[in-house]
Amino acid sequence: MPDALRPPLTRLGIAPGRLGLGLGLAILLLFSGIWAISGRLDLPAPEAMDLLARLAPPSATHPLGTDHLGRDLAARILAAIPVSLGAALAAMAAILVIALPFGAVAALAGGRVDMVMMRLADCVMAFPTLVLALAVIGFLGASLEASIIGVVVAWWPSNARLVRALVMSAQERDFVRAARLSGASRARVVLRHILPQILPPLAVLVSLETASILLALSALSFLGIGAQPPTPEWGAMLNEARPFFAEAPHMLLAPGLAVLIAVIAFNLIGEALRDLLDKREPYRW
Amino acid sequence: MSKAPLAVRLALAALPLMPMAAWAEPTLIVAVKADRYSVKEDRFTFTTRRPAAQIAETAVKPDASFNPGPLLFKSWRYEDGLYIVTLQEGITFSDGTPFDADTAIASLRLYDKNRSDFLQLDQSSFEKRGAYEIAFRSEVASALVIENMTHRGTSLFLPTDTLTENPIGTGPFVLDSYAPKQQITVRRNPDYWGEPPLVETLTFRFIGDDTARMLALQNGEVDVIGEVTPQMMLSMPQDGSVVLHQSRPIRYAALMFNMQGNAPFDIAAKDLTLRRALGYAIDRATIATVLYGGFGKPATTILPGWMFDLGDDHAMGFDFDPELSKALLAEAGWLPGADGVREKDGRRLSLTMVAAYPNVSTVKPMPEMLQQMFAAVGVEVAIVEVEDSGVYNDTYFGPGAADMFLEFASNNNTDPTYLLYNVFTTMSPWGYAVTSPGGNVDALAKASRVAESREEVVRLVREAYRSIVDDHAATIPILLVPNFSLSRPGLSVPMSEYADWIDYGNVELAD
Amino acid sequence: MLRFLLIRLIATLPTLLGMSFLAFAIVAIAPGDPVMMELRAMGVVPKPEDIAAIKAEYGVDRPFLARYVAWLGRAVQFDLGRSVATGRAVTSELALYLPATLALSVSALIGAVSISLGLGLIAVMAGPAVSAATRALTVLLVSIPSFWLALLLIHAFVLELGWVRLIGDGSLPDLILPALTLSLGAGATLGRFVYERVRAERCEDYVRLAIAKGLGPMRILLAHIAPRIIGPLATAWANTLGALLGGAVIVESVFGWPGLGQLILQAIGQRDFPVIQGYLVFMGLIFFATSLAADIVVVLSDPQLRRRLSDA
Repeated sequence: MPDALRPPLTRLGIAPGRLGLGLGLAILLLFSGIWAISGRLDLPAPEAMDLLARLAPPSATHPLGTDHLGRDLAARILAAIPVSLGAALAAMAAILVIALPFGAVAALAGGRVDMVMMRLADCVMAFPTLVLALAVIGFLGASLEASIIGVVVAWWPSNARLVRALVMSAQERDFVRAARLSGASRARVVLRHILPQILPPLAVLVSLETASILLALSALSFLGIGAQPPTPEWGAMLNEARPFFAEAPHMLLAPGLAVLIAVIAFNLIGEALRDLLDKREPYRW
Repeated sequence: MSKAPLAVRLALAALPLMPMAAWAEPTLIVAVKADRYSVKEDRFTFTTRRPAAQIAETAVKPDASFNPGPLLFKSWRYEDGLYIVTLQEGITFSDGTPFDADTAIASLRLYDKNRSDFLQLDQSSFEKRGAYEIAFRSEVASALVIENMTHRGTSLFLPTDTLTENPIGTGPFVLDSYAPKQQITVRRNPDYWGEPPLVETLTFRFIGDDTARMLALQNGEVDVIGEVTPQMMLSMPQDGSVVLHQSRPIRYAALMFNMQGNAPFDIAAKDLTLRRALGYAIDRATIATVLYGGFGKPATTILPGWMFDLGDDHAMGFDFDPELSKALLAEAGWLPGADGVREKDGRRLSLTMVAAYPNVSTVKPMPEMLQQMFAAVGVEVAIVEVEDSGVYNDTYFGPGAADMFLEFASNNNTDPTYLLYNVFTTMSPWGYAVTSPGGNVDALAKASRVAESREEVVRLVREAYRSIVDDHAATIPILLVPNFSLSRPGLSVPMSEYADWIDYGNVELAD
Repeated sequence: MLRFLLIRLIATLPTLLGMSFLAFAIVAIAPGDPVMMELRAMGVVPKPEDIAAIKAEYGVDRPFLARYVAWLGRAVQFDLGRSVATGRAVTSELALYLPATLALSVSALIGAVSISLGLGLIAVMAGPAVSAATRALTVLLVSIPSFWLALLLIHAFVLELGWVRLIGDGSLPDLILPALTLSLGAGATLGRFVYERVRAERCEDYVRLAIAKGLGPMRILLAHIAPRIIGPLATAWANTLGALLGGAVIVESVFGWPGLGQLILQAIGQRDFPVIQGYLVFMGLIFFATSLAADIVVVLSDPQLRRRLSDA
């Protein structure tokens, strides 16, 4: 390819994929970095109320302003990092714990077992994810744990389907067949040949799904049925900010941006990984 | 669906052309939270409850001290288990049928079809004694039937086959249109027997979201908001674009302790000193300034003093005294631990608080504020917020799965024993044994239900409520809160402590 | 084709059955008793025999499986029971809310498809800088929380500019903001999909052949690539429509849009079990209908598959 036709970034030796990956990882590092040093920042406790400074706009004492109880928004947003991101990662981990074995077993067993397992997943997938999560939480009682469970219940089947598709296509590769024909044990085939193959696309999946789970969890908290006050959580902060959004928009802006940036980070990483894994180059016209 | 708004738009366009006509036919749009009407025959609430409780009237209506006063019943007496009633004369239903002994009995009979019949009338006892005189008995020999007839749910409808589509009553308004879950419109009854209402047509729009309701008012899309949550009052614009109307304080916000004492929620049940200490730890004045637009009153009693003439001092209650609170905790053996949370015999003083009945938005952000106040005296509180009274009852309250329950409720009935018996005794049919002290309170409540005179009833009820707060500290009063509505400037809304009795038909449209 | 439809329908029967069982079970195991709540709200002190009568009326005194079978028997005759809260048939409750949700979902789908084609094609066709910018925009739109976007739009267009009313009545101008909110997110997700599919096709040999023949990019895109991706795209659109119908809960609640999302939020709040069950079953049926429609498009758009089906 003539040099002049290449995208400018590529000319500098930076693939757009790498840029996205770098950016996404940098954002996540930034979040964890800020959280790590937040103890040393001179911020009030996230639960501390200053009823005289309610709904204060951003100022020197309160860099992001205060909420309706005079709590420092900056302190709350920082304190929410482990809660909001932690909940999303925990939900993703739980989904993988269900979806990985479920999808893999379905794909490896094939035939009737596969069919029954997939029909089972279909039954759950027929319901709108958010509504299913809502129903589950409605019956468990609102809490962060309940919203994680709700999201796991609603999200696992689509992930199980994707895992199954990945394992199926990995199984079809020539060297996997060869390994099986040469008498390698089933466990060996799975661990040595299939797993390494599905890991990269799985990383893409996990990253993109974490983004969507983060959105779902914050939406549930926004509805007031996720994290319980006074636990700082971005979605819950938005829920608390809602009645004041005409007079104190600063309450709405900061937590919303926090969710947005975190979701962007996961999406960037996912897309960038996919670009990097996709070795094929489109023909130029 | 789109016809009505077109008509509205045309009307608005025509407004400058005929200002006189616009004044002659004032319309009022009231935003309310949800359409809770049931058209089911045996659980019929369509237009009997708020907001559109304007079509049918009740037999009697509550007066200023919550005693029943005449409305469709002109006078009544109760002798040997028999109620003898003289009806108001000269009243017709909106279809022209006269209201007399026959139609009154037919209307009252309608209530036996209804599962939610709490009048408990003996259907075989109805007796026509004259053109305008009837008599009946109570199924359960209750002396409080007339008291219960102040409930809007007992509104008298003419029994017709089309009751659920077109209810016919004697009220100031008749049904104009009903789009389920969207809006209901009533218009003035031209033949109303009483004083004609000021408003010509009343439209109630169902807008579920609190913020949306508030913005609709600020945007001029509605005139009045009928259901106001404390969050809405917190965010109420202070520039005069929204006006608040309120009744006398009626609802109590109170903390009820789990008195059952099933582990692990057994700390409070056995420890009167602890319960009293928590009572003194609450800074009611601060809560009152933050919540309910500053219109709530720090409470020493569960019910307001004006109700049944109980008197403001019928219980002493608790002041805000953190030092006394700490001293009481220490006296009870709860000593500060390493992280500031008190401990006794290795057990942390950590309590679970469920907020709230009927849902948490009625008291927000009180839970967080209480948590901070309790933390200040060394008591750790975990908050469970519940948006739904079903979850509240079934998951937490029923099984007694918390140490404290925050409730926001009222005695919305002219029967003085009603709330006491159902919410503060171990005989409660609603499961309130969990938070009831039992013993003398149960005895007082039982005695009040069979007392000879209303004075005696009220004396016993007063003593029971005093004992609950002062002797047992089983329930700690926090605030007494009025009923609120919000409107655009220039309206005066005739408020009532009964939400069902707010007289939207007589909202005055000042110029 | 008819045969294919028939087989496809029969194949979904077990899933439908499983789905209905799930819908029934989810609700049956839930705590909370709507009847008791209503009685309490009315200020009624129920007697044990009243409660027993109500339980018998709702059939909750019978064993779980028997209740399910009876419920299913009525459900196949489109009798989903009566709403505990309103006394109306569940089907008429659904019918009350369906038009608003359909209007919102369909207009959001149209918006999303247009946005996705725009974003996806620009990302594929434009120069590197524009392409990168478009993809960045896509990531931004995919990542933005819908409820937050809704609030920002309300702030801008209702409070600041005053261009639209907040409390709509279901008429067309009121549709703009909620439909825009929904279609931006869904459109970006679909746009990402369009980009990926077209990019993948561009790696295929037939494209190289077409380029070698000297065909222009537009020609290749429309005549060669489009027929191949229409199947997967249709599937994605069908899934998006299903997701919009069910997933508009939050946007509907923020805008006060009188759609099915409001119905289900209320029903969960009021423990209106027949409505929750009916809603879940209805959404399941929608899911099957849209995926069936997508399958038909896939078959129709694939000449090979079509031939194989007609041969068989």
